[in-house]
Amino acid sequence: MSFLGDVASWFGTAANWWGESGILNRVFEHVQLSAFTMAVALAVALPPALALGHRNRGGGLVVTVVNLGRAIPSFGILALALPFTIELARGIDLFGWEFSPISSGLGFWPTFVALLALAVPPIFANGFTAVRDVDPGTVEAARGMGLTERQILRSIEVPMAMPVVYAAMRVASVQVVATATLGALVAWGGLGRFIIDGFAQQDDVQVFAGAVLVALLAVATEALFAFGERWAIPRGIAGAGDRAAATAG
Amino acid sequence: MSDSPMIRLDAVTKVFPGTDHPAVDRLTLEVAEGEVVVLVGPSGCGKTTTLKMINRLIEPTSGTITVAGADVTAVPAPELRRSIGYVIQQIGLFPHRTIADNIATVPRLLGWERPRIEARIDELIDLADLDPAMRDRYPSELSGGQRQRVGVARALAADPPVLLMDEPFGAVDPIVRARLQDELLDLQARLRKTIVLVTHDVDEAIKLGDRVAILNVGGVLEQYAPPAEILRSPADAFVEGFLGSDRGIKRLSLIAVRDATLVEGPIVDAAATAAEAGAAMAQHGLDWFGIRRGGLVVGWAAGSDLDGGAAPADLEPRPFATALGPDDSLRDALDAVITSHSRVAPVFDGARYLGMLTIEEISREIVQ
Amino acid sequence: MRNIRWRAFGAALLAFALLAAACGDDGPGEGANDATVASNLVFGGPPECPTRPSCMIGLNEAGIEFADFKALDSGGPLTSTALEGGEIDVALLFSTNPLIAVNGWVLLDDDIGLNPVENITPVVRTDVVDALGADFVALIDGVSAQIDTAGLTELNRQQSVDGDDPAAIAARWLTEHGYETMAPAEGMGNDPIVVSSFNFGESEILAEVYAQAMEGAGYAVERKLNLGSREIVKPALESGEIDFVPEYAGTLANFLGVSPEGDTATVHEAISIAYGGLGISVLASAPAEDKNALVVTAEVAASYGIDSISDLAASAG
Repeated sequence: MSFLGDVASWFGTAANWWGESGILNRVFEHVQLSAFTMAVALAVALPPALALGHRNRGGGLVVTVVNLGRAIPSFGILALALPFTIELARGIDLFGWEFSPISSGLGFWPTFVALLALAVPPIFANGFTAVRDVDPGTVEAARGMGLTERQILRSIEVPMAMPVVYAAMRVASVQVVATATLGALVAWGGLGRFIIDGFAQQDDVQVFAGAVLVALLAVATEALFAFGERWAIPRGIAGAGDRAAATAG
Repeated sequence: MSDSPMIRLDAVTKVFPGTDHPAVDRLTLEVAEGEVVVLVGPSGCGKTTTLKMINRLIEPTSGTITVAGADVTAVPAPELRRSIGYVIQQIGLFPHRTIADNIATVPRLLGWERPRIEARIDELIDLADLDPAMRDRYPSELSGGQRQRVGVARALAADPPVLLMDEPFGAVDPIVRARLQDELLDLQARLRKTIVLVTHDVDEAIKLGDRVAILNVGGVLEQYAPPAEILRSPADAFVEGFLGSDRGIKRLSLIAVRDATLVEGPIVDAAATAAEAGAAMAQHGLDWFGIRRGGLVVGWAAGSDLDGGAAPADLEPRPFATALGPDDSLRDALDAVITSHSRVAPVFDGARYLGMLTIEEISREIVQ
Repeated sequence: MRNIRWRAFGAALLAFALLAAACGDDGPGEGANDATVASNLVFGGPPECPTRPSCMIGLNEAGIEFADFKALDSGGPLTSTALEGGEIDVALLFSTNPLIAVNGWVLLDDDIGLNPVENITPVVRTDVVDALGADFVALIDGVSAQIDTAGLTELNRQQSVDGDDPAAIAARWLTEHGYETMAPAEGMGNDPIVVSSFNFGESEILAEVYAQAMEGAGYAVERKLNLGSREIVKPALESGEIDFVPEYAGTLANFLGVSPEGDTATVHEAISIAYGGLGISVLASAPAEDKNALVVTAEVAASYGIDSISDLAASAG
């Protein structure tokens, strides 16, 4: 049988879909980790990025941090994070109070750290520049009409920055989904499992099927964001997102 | 109208950090309630800085500013700004909000009830002469002139007694600008706001200002007077130079045709003879004559039309190509007179003929 | 109002994050039955373990079912770190891993015949042997004869504990054992022998030992180290992309589909026949053995009272 035929029959095998190492569970694990990472990345990166962008302070710092973040490969961060997460799982002693903040130092958490380091820089950088680059005339008009600084940020700058911020979220999410495969190296599940196990077992069909699944999930993520754009980008400035997408990459 | 000024700047100085010379230097200026004051001057004269100090977008280094008798620093800046209308050159409409929402900005900040806001939006859309269908449009769907009108409507939303305008018509083309200026004057005639307007355009200052403050580099007030007075007697060489060599011509824009002296002109009854028409033309040194029928001047005929021995009654009167109204300025009249080959222009008040304005009369006004 | 939508979006995101965190943190051992020792333990090994007779398949056949399996690396730093950090209770490591002694770990006795004899056995393309002749074979066999298990463990220790470079470790060993490592002025004028290794430290050190011994004897050598797993090495050897690789007898037998059972000589004969047919010669085995071995920490060994693999199948009591 041809290779593609083998791949097709792999997908056609019910056993490959169900159970702990089945496609459905792997997709769930993959999405779970990716979504959690994006949620934390947004929570961690956006507020300071937007606040700094509003004041136009710390631009140099932003560039440095972001470039540093981009320079270190995800795999390197994974390797660096692993000893720390294992230590955390073993337990820490906080002024005599011993506890384990996480139950396992393998799998989820080191991968999460690596993905967080991947997702934060583009969100942070684009959040910062998007707010900083909001038309100064609009901001001056808002201030001149008596909006407080907080109101300016929340109701003027953030909506106007949305196309760029949203594009950055979109790019970061796709990167996170694609890179979450690395988790399989440190015993996390997800779709990377098929690739890593398939490679170790020299099972090309499984490797290929895993790669296809990752690509499909990345495309699905793109599509989800494309669908959500209408909802997330305020009317009146829609269309600006196409220009923004180019700068967010 | 009270005696105390609506806006008062008292020895206001602004020195920006990192600079030696003040941008505004001990400026004292009073703006009476209901008047339009235009701050004009070359770039670097501190006119915009002065304007922004009134609503505290820029805080003065020293001196005090009062609006309606109260020190502007008495309330938090955002609160102060909600009580002062503000219009800027970039307009700064919020692109993600509809026209109605843009206009409702300050009323919402002030916590107005919804029905009151809705009613006010309708009122302002009407006031700004905007199509009610624009209510739910977004700024990107509007033309530059329409956006500027929305900007003014938005500034007027909470009916503030004071309006600050920073080069409000700087970003639109000259034709639209002239129309927006007229609209502003029209609006002001109805609303009687206290307006401080910044421009670098002397003509705009002369056209719009009840009083004009001419500022020199470093925020020095050179002259503060009604435009006619400034044009007639500039305070110093700087003002004279700033007004330009055509200051006499500029002054024409302040004089209405109705205030000029008109001449009767070569007007003859339709029943007159060719000889009478010839005499009228000779008296005024013109080669044409106006024809009156039933008390109304209906048109004109050329002297050559009579060459074949025709009488004025036989001629079909030609309509006047250029005619002035009593409210037109002499500046407008100058254009009409110069473009007419005979150097005169007829003046009508509706259908009623008032007389002829001649180039000599305009020249007399210029040199006065 | 857009504000409300955004608040709802934020709340949904937060809810999802909490849910994901809660699910992501589920520890091992859920749903395990407590019948055997193994069912209380988490096993860590290479990703290919579940499909290997010498790993999970063999263990399952012996009635050993672990609570969970963590796919890590081939007896490398990830597996040993995970064992050290308590992430796993049982690790598949190489028996020559110096960390076993350093950490006082317990190597479970292979009393179920899970792993065959694993003598280090160099394999080389037959056309290379034919071209270079008996002197070459004698050189390699001489080196092999001097590599014993204790010595190999020490070489591994120098790398994984001292952090030395494989080439430097190999050079030191050869000098100590009376070999020349610097190429003589007069070379053999042969086509370079392409020496390769698997993708783990010990294989790389062994490849360096043989490669430097060849160079010291005047042979031209080219290195293609760290090539990958056997699935990659075998085809490369057959196609002539590489010429020489230090193998492990039992694993190779398994891989070639011949019986890995019996003593060193039996297995050597079996793989010689199997590989010979593919144009690859199997040289003499070294005394050194590096087996896959199940390793537990001293605490685990003590608390369950285990010292052999079959103990894992015992009732946990």
